[in-house]
Amino acid sequence: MRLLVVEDDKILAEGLMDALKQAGYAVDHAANGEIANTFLQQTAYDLVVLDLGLPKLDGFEVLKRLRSRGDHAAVMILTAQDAVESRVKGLDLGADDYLIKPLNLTELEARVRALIRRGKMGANTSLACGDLTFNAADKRATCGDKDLLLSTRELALLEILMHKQNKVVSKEQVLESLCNWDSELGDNAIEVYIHRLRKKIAPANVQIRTIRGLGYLLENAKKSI
Amino acid sequence: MQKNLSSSNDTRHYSLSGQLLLWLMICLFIILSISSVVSYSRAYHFANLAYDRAMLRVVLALADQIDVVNNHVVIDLPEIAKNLLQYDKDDYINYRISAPNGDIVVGEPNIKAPRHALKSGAHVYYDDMLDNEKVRVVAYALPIINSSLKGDLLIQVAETRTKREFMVREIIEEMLIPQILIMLVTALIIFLSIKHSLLPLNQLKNALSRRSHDDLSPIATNSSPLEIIPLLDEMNGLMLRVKVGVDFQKAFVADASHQLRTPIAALQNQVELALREPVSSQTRHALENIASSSQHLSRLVQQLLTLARIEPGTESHYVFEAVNLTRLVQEVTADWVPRALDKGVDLGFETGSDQNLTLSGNAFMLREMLSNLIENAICYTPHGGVITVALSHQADEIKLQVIDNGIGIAPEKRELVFNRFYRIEDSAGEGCGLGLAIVKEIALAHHAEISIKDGLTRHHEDGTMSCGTNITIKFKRL
Repeated sequence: MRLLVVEDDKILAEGLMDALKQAGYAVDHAANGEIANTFLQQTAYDLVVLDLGLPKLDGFEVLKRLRSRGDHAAVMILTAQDAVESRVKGLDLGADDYLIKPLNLTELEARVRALIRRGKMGANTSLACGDLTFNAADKRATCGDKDLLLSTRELALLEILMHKQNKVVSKEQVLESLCNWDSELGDNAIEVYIHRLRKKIAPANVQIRTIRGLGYLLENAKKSI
Repeated sequence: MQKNLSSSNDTRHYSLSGQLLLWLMICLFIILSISSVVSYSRAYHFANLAYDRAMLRVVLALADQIDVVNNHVVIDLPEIAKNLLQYDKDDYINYRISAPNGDIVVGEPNIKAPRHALKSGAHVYYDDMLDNEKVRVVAYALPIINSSLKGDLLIQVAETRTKREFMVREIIEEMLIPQILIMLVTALIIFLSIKHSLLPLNQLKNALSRRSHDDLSPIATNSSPLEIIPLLDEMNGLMLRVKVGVDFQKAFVADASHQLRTPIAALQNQVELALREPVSSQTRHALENIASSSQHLSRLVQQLLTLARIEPGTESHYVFEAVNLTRLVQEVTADWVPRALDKGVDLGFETGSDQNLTLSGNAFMLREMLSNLIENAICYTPHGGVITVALSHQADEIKLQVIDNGIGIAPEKRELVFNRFYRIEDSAGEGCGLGLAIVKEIALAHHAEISIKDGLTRHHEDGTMSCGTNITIKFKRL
């Protein structure tokens, strides 16, 4: 797995590279747009962490040239501008994700993992939370090495909760994930499924919290103790 | 504010219209005075003209009756003629006939001779006094013919001036009353026209007073009178210079915040990496402090940038459009749930309405506003607390509330907390004093009202009680 960090601030670049190296990736560094462009022409990277405000050649230009060569490397834009226009422009030019400075290294690592997973389409699609592992490809949930026996609806529910773990999943999103099977599901029905799922996954040290008025949130049960 | 300034100023202000009116009235008064003096003299002239002739006729009639016999002046004046001569409805008529040497022949001795000697056959009219009364006198020098007596007889008739004065008064009244009326009408017209001419000034004042403090757009000069245009041009020039300054300031804050982000990111990431290494507990403590300080710094920079962006004058960059407030509030609240859970705070959402509430606003700004409110509530609500974001609506308003059972804000400090960089003393929270200032700016930009009340009461295990905070924002409905 080969990554390129394009960032002109030396110390920030060093920090990013250290974090990514610790996560087990091979990382190169380009300090300006021209160097980045040359590197990208020579080497096929799996992912590029691209700063927008670069000397010599700005990030947008590097991205534009990369995509015009037909290179599909995942691109994560790093920007100090949180103005909506620059985000939209970056995504329009073919970036896959963006992070706003200052960024949290753990979040960067998670996003990089997600982008690489997406790029590999199913090769490694398992999600983990606590002792619970969910494999999206063959729709299996395991606790440690034991399979959990879940219904299709419970699996669908778990999948969306696992995808957005530690984040609130709204009732609408829950409904969307379930309505493939049943178009008429009320709030009570959702409660019932959540209740059942809670019971079944309890041994795996994960919990589903009900967030008042908003939805549900899956988290590692050890975290909150 | 502006009113206080001008009223506390002790300098006396004069009114343009007052000054104009005063000067015009003074001029009119002078003209009227001159005109009345002239009128009086003309009227007197014409009154004399009319009555002097009659007097001369009396003199000539008298002259007819005079004869000189043997060097003696003989006057043949029957009593009836004398009565007729002296009779007048209004005035007393006296006469005197003097011999060439000046001796009185007959008549009233007190009538004085004219100042200049008269030529033979000539007559003169003049004003004089007789027994302390103003009189008009006609003097006629009657030559003596066919006699050894040489010289002229002086015949004088004096008449009091009652009917002349009366006539003068009549003429003056005839002339002056219309003149005074004309003057009053002129004054009224002048007053009204001044008022009317100064109307644009008033309109300008109203237009300026309707402006918000941040509106630095030029004043339209197209409908203004020629005289104020230079003043308006200067004012517009000044506003432009102020605007350039303000814009520069804002751009600087935005640029500076922007530039600060990269080094702050580097700092944070280095600390994060260092904390992953096995280090002594002392070093760990120091690193954790650095991490928390840099996070605080990063938030402050973010808030400065937000403030620079939403500050008055820049909202024109922000399009106001229909915003689904219900969805926006749900999304923003959901984004903060993990942070609240980290702190052991129950953050939730309540709505008093089934349907989605929409209003005209800017989604970016509204998100920032609610984010700051929730962040503040999390900051000041200890572990185990409850925060509720509530949305409700009445006939014409939408109410957004963030209610917590945290430490609360003392009533006397509720106005102050909206000031920039104001922090409640002894507060344990990590807010940096810009959050509520941002909230207020955004609420103002949306013409919303903002108020702070007590939130939910919480009884703590140690017997103390906290009253919490309820920040309410009332939007007008579309």
